[in-house]
Amino acid sequence: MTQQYKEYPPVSDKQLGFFIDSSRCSGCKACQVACKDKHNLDVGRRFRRVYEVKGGGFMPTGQGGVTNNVYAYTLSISCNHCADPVCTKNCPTTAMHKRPGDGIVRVDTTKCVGCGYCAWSCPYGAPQMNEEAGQMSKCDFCVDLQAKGEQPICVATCPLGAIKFGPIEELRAKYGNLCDVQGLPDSAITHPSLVIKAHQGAEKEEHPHA
Amino acid sequence: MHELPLLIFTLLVQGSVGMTLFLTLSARPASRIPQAKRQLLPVMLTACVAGGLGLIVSTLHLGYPLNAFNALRHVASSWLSREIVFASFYLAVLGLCTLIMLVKKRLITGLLPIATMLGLVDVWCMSAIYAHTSVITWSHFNTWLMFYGAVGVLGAVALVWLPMLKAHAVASVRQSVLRFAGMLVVAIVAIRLLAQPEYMQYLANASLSGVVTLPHQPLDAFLQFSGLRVFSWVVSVLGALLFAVSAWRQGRFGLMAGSLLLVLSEVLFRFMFFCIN
Repeated sequence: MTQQYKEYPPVSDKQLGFFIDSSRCSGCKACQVACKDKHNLDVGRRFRRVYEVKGGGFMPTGQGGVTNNVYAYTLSISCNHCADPVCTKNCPTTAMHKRPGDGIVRVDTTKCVGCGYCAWSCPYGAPQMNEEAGQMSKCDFCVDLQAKGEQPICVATCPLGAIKFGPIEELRAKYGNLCDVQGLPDSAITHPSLVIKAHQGAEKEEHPHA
Repeated sequence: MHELPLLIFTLLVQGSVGMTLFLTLSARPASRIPQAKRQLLPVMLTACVAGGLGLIVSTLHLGYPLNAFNALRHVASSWLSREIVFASFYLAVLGLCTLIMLVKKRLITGLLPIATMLGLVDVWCMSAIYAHTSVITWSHFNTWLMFYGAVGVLGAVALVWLPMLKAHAVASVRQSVLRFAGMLVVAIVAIRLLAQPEYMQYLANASLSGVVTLPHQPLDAFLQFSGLRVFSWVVSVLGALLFAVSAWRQGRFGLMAGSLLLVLSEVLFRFMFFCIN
């Protein structure tokens, strides 16, 4: 049985995106749980995921001491409704599509064949198999709530106000353009509609030269 | 293993294209000798059945096969749609050639090279499907080498196992084709081996290797199977050498043993390819 798919008119005439204040995120996972609850997701499926990113190390100063650049922080990530989504490009059925206007990437389950190619393609792990329906599923930016004038559930739930949403150009004007941080793929792959305020240690290191 | 249908599908279709490749090489000399011409029919039928069975098995990978026809909707940008289109064209041309041979006993030699070309394009699309993903172990030209290599290896094995050019009148042609198959198999294994250092270097420096959001863990699986990988390479090299030497000296036992080793190595390579979790 296919999942119920309902069309909604565009909820914005501009590309929507998320702002994640990673410096503020405590890793409480309220966003993840609220999303799971709202979409009634089974074990293993998480449209919004909170990752812990850690790295760095200790280095001798040469004067008998050690210095460190150790970092660990949490990062809340869902679908980034990318400007150039590789999932829609690779989907053989056109079920995975980008809506005109608001740019939300959704799965049309009347078309989806459940091949899983989108899950192999997306470097953010957004499309996930609904084992019961045999079809793909993903964050739809809570388009049903937005159509009623409400906020996406993760935005409304975050107790620290670390997740915001809106037209991505407005978010970039307000918070900057950063979306390449430790733990995330190169933004050049899909051009995510995402702005991040980095946690200390989250800035990407230079790749070592060969 | 979750991707078992894809393992079977890719090997069957690539084997089918390999058989068609060697049918093309054998068709013209065989068409002049009635006995040799008749011998091509079981090979053509086997190639059709392998390709068709592969396509049927591939539907087992789909979570919702009732929408399967929708998979043809995105030829403009999806390699998966393109692969299905070319697989269908390939099987249609090969099936037509086989049907004419079966019903009218006529061998249309011109159709076989067309089927081979379509099959090779299909294998290109099949490789591109995997290469255009975020799965680190797939997104490299090594995928093309493994897939095209399977075409050559499985085609050469089919030449030994199936009754192609086994009439007395074409014994010298069979010998030439067998020697070509032997050289092809050695070349394939050598090229694949030569590409391995570059592939390993790519895996070591992959820009996605520190990414926490990837849903698959192909590098963990790659490291986990390092022992099996070495074993597969040894089996592959031994099989190729045994096959090539026996093809040159017409050693029947060596050809059979070499073929078995080559098939075993292809199955093992493909098993490891699809282990991404």
